[in-house]
Order: sequence, then structure tokens, then C-alpha cells
Amino acid sequence: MQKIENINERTLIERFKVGDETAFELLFRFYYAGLVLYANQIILNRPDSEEIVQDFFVQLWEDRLKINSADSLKPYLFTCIKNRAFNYLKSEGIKEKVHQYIRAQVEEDILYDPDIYISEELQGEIKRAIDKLPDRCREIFIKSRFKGDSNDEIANELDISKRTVETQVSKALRILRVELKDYVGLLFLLGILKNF
Amino acid sequence: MKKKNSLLTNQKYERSVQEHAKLSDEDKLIKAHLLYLQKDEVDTDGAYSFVKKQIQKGRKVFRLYEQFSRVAAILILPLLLVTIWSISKINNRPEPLNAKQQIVQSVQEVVCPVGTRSKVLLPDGSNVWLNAGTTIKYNLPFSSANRNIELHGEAFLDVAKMDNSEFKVYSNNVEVVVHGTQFNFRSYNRDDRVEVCLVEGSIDLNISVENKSIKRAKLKPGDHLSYSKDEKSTELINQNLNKYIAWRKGLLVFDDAPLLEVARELERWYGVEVEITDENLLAYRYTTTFENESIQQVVDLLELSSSMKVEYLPKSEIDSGKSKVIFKRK
Repeated sequence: MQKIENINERTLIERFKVGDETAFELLFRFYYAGLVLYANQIILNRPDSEEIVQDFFVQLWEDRLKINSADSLKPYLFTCIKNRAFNYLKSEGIKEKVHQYIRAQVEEDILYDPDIYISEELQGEIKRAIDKLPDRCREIFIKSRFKGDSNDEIANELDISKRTVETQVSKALRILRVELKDYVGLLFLLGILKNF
Repeated sequence: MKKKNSLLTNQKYERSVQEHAKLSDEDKLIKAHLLYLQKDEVDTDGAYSFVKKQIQKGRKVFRLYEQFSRVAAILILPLLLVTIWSISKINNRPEPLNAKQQIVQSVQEVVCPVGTRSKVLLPDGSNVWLNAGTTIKYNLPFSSANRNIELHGEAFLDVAKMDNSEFKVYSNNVEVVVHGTQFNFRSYNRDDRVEVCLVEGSIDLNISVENKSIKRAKLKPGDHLSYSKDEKSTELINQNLNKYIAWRKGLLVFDDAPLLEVARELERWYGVEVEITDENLLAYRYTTTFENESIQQVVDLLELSSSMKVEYLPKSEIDSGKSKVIFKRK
């Protein structure tokens, strides 16, 4: 059973439905960041993602009586945000073909699994794996994959050769893959990796 | 949200999708989890402040939905909630909470089942009479800043005058703001019409459809406003209001009422199930007043005053949850 701050989410949902602001706040704090990052993955725009999710929560509060009782709001929230993200894409003038392309990826790819954006266990695992990297290697890897800096930018900033950057990133990936092998098994057990 | 150069935008998305598709499964996983780590960068506090402010602005009219399908035999169902701590205690959880929690309002809900009428005294001294099949909800503390009631059904309100304090009633897209008044608010989910009539005092009324206000009115004594949900139109007339508020005194009034309306009223008033066996009977109209009469007496009178046969079957005789009233052709 899903717990938020040690309270059953089902209980929080019931409280929220009858107008309990604290329940609403706890739900908000639990889901907000994950939903923003999820939306951002689809629309590739952080400020707009935040706007989408914030507007959604305002409406969620106003429509709270409409919410069905459930063990968790996760499927409902992520589906709503997904729809809003797609609407945003439409309003940005995305061609139908590209739209379908994105849709197909969102439906199947692990990158769009809500659990990735919510589960704290997974976060712990990956953090541990990254901590295992040698300092320099980790620093470069985080800049590359985490911050999205190009190899050139990193090379410039750290005053090293681009080749070094590439080597370090490859090394990091090798180590993480090894760490990940066990992890993949864990994810299977948690029922999170469906299509792997 | 600005509209960007379409071609560039399309390219950006296309590239992103393609690049991701090229990754190995493990790399995808790593990428996915790195995303998650970005969570710390997201300003949840600021976002919540913003959301809270928007909600408090109350920029949209409070809307209600058909969740009240219970016909509970309980008259009052308090949902007392002081803090999340209490819930935790009930669930045998060791306390959790962070310092961010606030005092939570409790919600009071009063259900008046079909077949009955009741009266509620609100904490501010206002009196609310509830007709059969009515539910009201309000928050505690019912302070001057927070005199709000949600209504499903029909209520007659005698609102206590409080300085600098509005009293609001919402139901089915209609919002009424009063300042020390006596008025009747009729808004049953199954009915098409929402009706508000003012006996004394003054009322500001606002009707919204899909978050747009379609009608604002200021009512004066004697005004009766009727709003049709299907047609989204309103009608305002000034007239004798007795027949609209007679229910409060236990009078069931029909004034040229079509059979369907009579049937619905009987269902609510007496908690019976009504059956009309012939479509042609629907054209019939009744004008009559019942005062504290039993359902059997009512049925007899309905039959006598019309060309129909009206039958009453108590639930004990038909082995069902409710008693039945049947309208047949003679």
C-alpha cells in the first residue's frame, strides 16, 4: 500500500476529497516534482512544464469531489499530465507524424514510467551506483548526462581534452551497467520493468 | 506559452525522440533515473505557494457533482478532522508530521433522507430547514470569514446577520451570496431547474457554466429566479412565494403540476417508489395541497380528484425495500 509521510495514500485521498488542505498539500509535495519532470520529458520545456502541473493542481482541488476513491492517485495524475502535455504539443504546432512518434515512445518506453518519477527506492539505487564512480569520473559523467553539457563544454570548463571527457563518460557507463545488472533484477521483482 | 517556429520545434522533438530510441536498454534506464535525480532542482515550495494562492482566490465558482447517491438512514454524519495526526493515531501509525502542517478544517455534513424533513442550526445562529432528500455540507470553524454551504436538494435558510461577513450557498453552478436574509434554494440533482426565491433581505446570485458566469442577479423580496440546466437560461419573476416555501410548514403544494413532478415529489416527500404505467397519464396536472397527511390519504385524494386509478402498496405487502405508489388508467 502506498504511503506518503507514513499515512496511507487512500486515506489522504479521502481527506482531500472532503476539503482537507493538509492532505492536499501532502499529495502535492509528493507528486509535484515527478510530474514536472515527466511533463518536461514530453514537452522539453521546464518553465512550461511547471505551469502545466501547477494549473492542473489548482483544477484538481476545485474538482476534488469528482475524484474516485483509490489506493493511489499516481495513475490518474500521470495520465492527466500526459494528456495536458500532448495538448501543449498540439498548440505548439507539432506535426501529426511527430506527435504520433512521441506518443508511441511515451506509451512504451521506460523513460515515461511514472514509477521512475515517484519511487524513492529507485532513486536510492542509482545514487548509490553513481557514488561508486571515481570522483573525476563522476563529476564528468554528471555534467554530461545529468546537466546535458556537451563534451566540448565540459572539456573547456575542466580544462581537459575532449578525448578525456569521452573516456571518462564511457568508463562511467561501464561501471553503471555492471551496477545496474543487479538493479535490473530488482526492478523486475518490483514489477516495474514491464517490457524489458 | 508562445508559439515557436514550427519547423525548428518539430525538429527538436523529432531529434529528441530519435536519440532516445537509439540508446541501449541499460542506458535508457540510467537516463531515466538521472532524470529522477533532478527532482531536487524543482522548487516545490514555491509551486505550492502559488497553487495555494490561486485556490484561495477562488476564481472559479464552486461546482458540485453527483456524488451524493447515498440515502443514508443517518441524519448527521460528522467528518471531524482536526489534523492528520489524528488519522495517524487511528491507523496506529507513529506520528509522522513535518512542521509544515496547518490546522485543518473539519467538514460537517448533514443528510436529510427522503421521507423526512429536518432543521439544522448553524454555528452562527442561522437556521436551515432541509426538505426531503437534501444534503448540506459546511466547514468548521464556521467563522465570519468562512460561512459557506454546499447544497444538494432544497433548503430554506434564515441567515443570521453578521457584520462584514458574507454567507454563501453553492449548488449546481449557482452561487448565492447573502447578507442576513430569508430565502429558499431548490436544487435537486435530478431536476432540470434550480430555483431561488427571496422572502426577506437581499441576495446576490451568480450562475456559472464551465467557469464562465452566465447570469448575475440581485434579488429583492418576492423575487423568484428559476434556472434551467438544460437550456442554460433563467427566468426572474416577482410573485407570491407561498407555494415555494410551504414545504417548510409540512405542506405539500401542487400548483398545476404535471404528473411527473407530482411523482417525484411524492418519492422524496414520502420515500416511496412511484410507477406510472401509461404514458398518456403524463399529461395530467394536479392542483392541490396536502397537509400532514399520510401517504394512503394522499393516494386516495389523488385518485378521487382525477380520472386515474392510484394504488398504494406498503413495502411489507410487496416484499421490497420501499413502498410503492402506482398510477394507472381507470
